[in-house]
Amino acid sequence: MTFFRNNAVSISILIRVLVALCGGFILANLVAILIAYLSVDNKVDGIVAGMMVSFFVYTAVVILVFSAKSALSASLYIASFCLVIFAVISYIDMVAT
Amino acid sequence: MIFSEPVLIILLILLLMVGFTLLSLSLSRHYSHVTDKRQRLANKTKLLLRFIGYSLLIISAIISEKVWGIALGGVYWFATTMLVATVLSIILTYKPRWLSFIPLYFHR
Amino acid sequence: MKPRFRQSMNWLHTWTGFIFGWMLYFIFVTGSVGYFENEIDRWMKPEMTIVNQVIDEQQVLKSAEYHLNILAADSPEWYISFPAARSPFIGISWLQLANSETNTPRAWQEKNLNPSDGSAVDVRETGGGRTLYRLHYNLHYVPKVVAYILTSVAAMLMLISLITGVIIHKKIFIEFFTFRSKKGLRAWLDIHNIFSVLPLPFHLMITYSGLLLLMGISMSTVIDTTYGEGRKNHNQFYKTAHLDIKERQFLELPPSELSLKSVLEDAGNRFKKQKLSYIGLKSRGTKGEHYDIWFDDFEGIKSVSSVEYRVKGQQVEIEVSRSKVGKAASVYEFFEHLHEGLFADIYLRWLYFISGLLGSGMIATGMVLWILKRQKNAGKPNKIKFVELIERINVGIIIGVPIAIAVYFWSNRLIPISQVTRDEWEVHSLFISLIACISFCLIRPKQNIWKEMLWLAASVYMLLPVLNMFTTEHTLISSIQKSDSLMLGFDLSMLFFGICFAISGITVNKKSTKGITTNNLVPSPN
Repeated sequence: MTFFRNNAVSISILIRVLVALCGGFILANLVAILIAYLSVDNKVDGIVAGMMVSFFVYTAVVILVFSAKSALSASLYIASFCLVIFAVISYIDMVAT
Repeated sequence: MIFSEPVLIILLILLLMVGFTLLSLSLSRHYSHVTDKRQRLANKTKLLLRFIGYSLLIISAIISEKVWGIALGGVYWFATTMLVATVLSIILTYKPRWLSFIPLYFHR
Repeated sequence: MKPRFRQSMNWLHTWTGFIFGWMLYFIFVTGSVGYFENEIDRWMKPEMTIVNQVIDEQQVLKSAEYHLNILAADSPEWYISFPAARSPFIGISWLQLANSETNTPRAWQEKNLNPSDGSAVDVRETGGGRTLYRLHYNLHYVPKVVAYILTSVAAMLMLISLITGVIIHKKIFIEFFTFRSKKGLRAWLDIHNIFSVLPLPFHLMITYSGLLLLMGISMSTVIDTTYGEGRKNHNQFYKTAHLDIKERQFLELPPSELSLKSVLEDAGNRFKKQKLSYIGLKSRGTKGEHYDIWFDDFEGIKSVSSVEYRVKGQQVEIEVSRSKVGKAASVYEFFEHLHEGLFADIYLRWLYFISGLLGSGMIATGMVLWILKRQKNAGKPNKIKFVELIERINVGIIIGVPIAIAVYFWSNRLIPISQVTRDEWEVHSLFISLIACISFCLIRPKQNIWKEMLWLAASVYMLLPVLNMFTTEHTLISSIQKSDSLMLGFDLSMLFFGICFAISGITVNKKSTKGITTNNLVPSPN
C-alpha cells in the first residue's frame, strides 16, 4: 500500500501518459469516424477530412490530459468525450439502417 | 508584368525588410537599443512608424498575390517574412547601431 | 496565464521534445538535404552528361526508343525523361520484370543518354540524393510500415512540442520581436527561441503536412472502420480519395498512329507554355496501353498535373487532370505540395533548406537545454553519469549526422564502381560513420568533443571538392567551363558548409575555458 503512496506522483504521471496515448488515439479515431459519417456528399472525402482533423484532436487531448487537475479528472474527461462521440456515431448508424 | 521574377523577389524582400524594421522600432524596447538611451519614443513617432510599417506589409502581400496568385504568393510572402524576421532579429541583437539612422530621420 | 497550466505545458514541452529528439534531428537533417535531391543526384552520378543547349525533342525520342527496344523489349512500362531545370539530363527508365529463369528480380532500370550522339552512358550504381532524402521517412534497416509508424509518432510529438512551445511563449507573439532582449545571458535559450519562433510557420506546416502524408498508415484504423479492412480495400480507398477532376477530349488522330512520337507532337502543340519533362508508356503491349506525360515540376503550385493519352473505342482520347474531386483531398494535395516543395524555384528552395536546418538547430539546441538544465540541478552521482552519457551521445548525433551524410558522399567516390552492391554500401557507410562518431564522443575527454567533432566535420566537407577533383574529371574550373551549374553548386556548397564548421570550431576553441559543456544558464558577469 505504501508503494502507491510513495510513488504517487510517478503513478499519476504514468496514468496521464497512458490516457493521453491510448485515449487520445481512440478519441482521434472516433472524431474522424464521426466526421466521415456526417459527410453526406462524398463519403471517401469525408474520411480523408476526418483523418486530417484527427491530429488536432490528438494534440488537444494531450494538452487537456496534462493540464487537468488530477490524473483521475483527466481520465474522466477523456472517457466521457469518447462515450459521447461513440453514442452519436451509434445513433447515426442506427438511423441510417 | 514589367519586372522579371528575380526583381520582384528582391522588391518583396525590401518591402518586408523596411516594413518589419519600422514596426520593430515602434516598440520602445528596440527603439532605445538603436538610439541613445536618452531619446524616448514619442507617441507621434510610434504611430507613424506603425502606420508605415503595417502599410508596407499589406502592400507587399497585395503585390505577392497579384504576381503569383494567392497560393504561391502566400508561400513567397510567408517565406520572405521568415527570412526578413531572422535577419532583423540578428541585427537587433548584435548590431543595433546599424539601424540608428532611422530614428534620426523620424526625429526631425 | 495560470502558473500551474504554464508549468505543465513546460513539462510537456520538455518531455515530448526529448523522447524522440535525436530521431527528429535525423529526420529534419535528411529531409532538409532532400530539397536538393536532384542536385545531389547529379553529383553522385558524375558520369551523366548534362544538357546545356536546346535539343531536338523528337530526335531524343528516336534514340530513346532505339535503346528501349533493345534493353526493355518486354517491359510493360517505359519512361523517357527530358531535360528539366533541375535535372538537365536525357534519361530512359523501365520496369524490369522478375524472371525466374535468369534469376533477375523485379527492379527499375535506368540509363542516361548522351545528348550529342544518343548513346547510352554507363552510370555508377548509387542510391543518390533520392535514397538520402527517403531516409527521413523510410528510415533504414526496418520494414517500411514500422518506419512510417515511428516517423508518425515522432512527428506527432513534434507537433505537441511546437504547440506547447507556442503556449509557453505566448508573449512572443503579442510582442513579436521583444523577446529577443537578453544579450549574452542564457545564450542557448535565446538561440533555441530564434530557431523556433522565426521559422515557426515552416515548422508547423512541415510537421502537420508530414503527419498528413503518413496518415494512411497512422490512421489506417479509420479506413478499416469506415471503409473496409485489408489491402484491397485500402488500395481502392486511396484510388477513390485521390480521384482527379478530369477533362476529356477526343483527338483527330487515328488510333493506329498513337505513338510516342505523335504524343510528343500533340503535347508540344497543346501545352506550348509548359516544358515537357517525362513521357511514359504504360501497360505496354496490353489492351489498356496508354501514354502519360508530365511537365517540369517547376511550373507552380497548381498547374496541369498530368495528361493521359489512350485509345477509347475507335478514337484517341486525351485526359487532363487538374485538381482533385474531393474538397478534403484538395486540401491534402495542397499540404502535400507544400511539404515536398517541388514547385519551388531556387530562392524558395534555399529558404526551404535553411528553414529545415533551423528546425534541426531548434531540436539540437532543445536537447542541449535539456542537458544543461539537468546539470544545473545535479543530484545523485548516478544521475550525473547518466546526463553525461546523454551529453556525449548528443554531440555525437548533432555533428555526427552531418558528418555521416558527408561520408555518404565520400563513399560514392571511393567504393569501386565494379562492386555490385555499392548502392547498399553507400548507405551502410552513412550509418557506420554515425555510430563511429557517437563512439568517438563516448571515449574522448569531455571538454574536447565539440571542438574535435566540429573540426572533423570541417575537414570532411571541405575536402569533398578535392576528392571530386581526384576521382572524377570534374574540377571546379571544368564545371565553370562546361556550365555544369549543379556540379559546381554542390562543390561550392560543400566548401561553404566546411568553412561554417571550421568557424564554429574556432569559436568553440576560444570559449573552451568557459566551455559549452559547462553551465551557461548562470548569468556571466559581462
